[in-house]
Amino acid sequence: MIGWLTSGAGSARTVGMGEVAVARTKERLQCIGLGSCLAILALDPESGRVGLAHAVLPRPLDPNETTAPAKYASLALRNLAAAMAEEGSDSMKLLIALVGGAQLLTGAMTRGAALPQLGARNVEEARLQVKALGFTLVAEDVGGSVGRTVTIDGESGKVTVRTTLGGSQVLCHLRPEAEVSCAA
Amino acid sequence: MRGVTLDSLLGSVPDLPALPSAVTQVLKETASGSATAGSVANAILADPGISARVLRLANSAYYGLSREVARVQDAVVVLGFRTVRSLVLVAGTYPLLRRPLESYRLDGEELWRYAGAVAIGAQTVAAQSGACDPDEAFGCGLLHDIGRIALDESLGDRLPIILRMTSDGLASFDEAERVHLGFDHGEVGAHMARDWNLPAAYVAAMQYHHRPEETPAHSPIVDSVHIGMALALAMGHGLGIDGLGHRLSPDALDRLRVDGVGFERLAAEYTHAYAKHSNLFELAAAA
Repeated sequence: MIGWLTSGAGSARTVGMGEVAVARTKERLQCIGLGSCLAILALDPESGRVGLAHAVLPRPLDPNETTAPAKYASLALRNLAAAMAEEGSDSMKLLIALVGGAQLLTGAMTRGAALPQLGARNVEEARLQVKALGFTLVAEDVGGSVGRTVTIDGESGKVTVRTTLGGSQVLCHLRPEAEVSCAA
Repeated sequence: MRGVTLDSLLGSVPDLPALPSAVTQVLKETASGSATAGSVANAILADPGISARVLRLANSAYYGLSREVARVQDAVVVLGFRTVRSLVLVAGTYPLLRRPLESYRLDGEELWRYAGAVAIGAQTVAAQSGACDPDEAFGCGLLHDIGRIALDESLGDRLPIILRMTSDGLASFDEAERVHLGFDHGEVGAHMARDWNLPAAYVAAMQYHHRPEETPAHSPIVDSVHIGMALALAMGHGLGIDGLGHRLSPDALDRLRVDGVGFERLAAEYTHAYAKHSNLFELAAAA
């Protein structure tokens, strides 16, 4: 997954499938080439700490599976919050953005709801977790059938989404004092 | 562009890739039922480049052999026909699939990585469903998009109208190719596969991987490649200009008895398999 989605990515640290990461000072974090996977981006407004989880699947089918911290959307946010708390964040007040969760077409030739909806299920699980943990969902760029690369700037909290045809677009600034231009 | 025949298109593409004859010979030999280690080795040795790459890969950490094999024949004996067949496919197709595709926006060696991701996906689906030979599914997955190489240069001037059709949600990318070109990259690939004398399963996988319900004789191999491709795209592999703008066939899912939960289970298996096997494709690129 290098190709077009990485061009211009600069020195951002890539967060791979199933991984969580907390940004160091002035560091940028990115997920490259999101298909059905979901990037969960978080900012703690008090400490200014920024984190990113790269969720792959909605929830474990085997509850006893030991797995990477963000492999499942149902667990990713909890593990991201824990990682941020270890870095000194107040994990009760995270501001969240969701990016990704695309899927293959389900048009007239298909049977709609009967088909696997991996991307939509990832988004659904993450939204449930945001609500369950009492966090605030600030912005989303999810669904459709486009691949996305997302970057978050650890200093400004700016979330940028890049697609093949759409180029780079600022989704929002998670940091409240920054200019707010969310496209939720 | 409409009205251009496949023959004229393929005749107009400079530097059209050719599959090394050693690859087809090995496929033929290993399927013959009368193959010996010597006959398979001879088919490989006909191509010195592939032979050298096969030996380097056979001795790589991926296979973890307890001692180095110095001769191709030894590699065939130690690894077995099926593994060597996959190894020859990987070694022999890298020079074709490594090229960037400008129109499809697959830069660098992204087509190669994507082909590997679909090969692993098709193999996983075939193994989990038990519907067909996982090794054959691997080979068909590896080669399924070869037609894109020939079509890439010709796509340029038709891209805007194809993209307009797909971005409006009116059609999948391959449907838009058929509407505006008269054929799609699958048909181009199948044409190439016939020219290369590839087995019928490969031809079918190339032609119908986006529309397995149209395969004249329903093929579990085509279904496996189709679902393997869906898994690869879902995991973000090969997301070029078409993104995930392809249809998932309910017929293919039904035939392999894959429901919504089954697809999630397959996706979980696929992430394990990809983590385990994708290194082979990185090694082939470095060999």
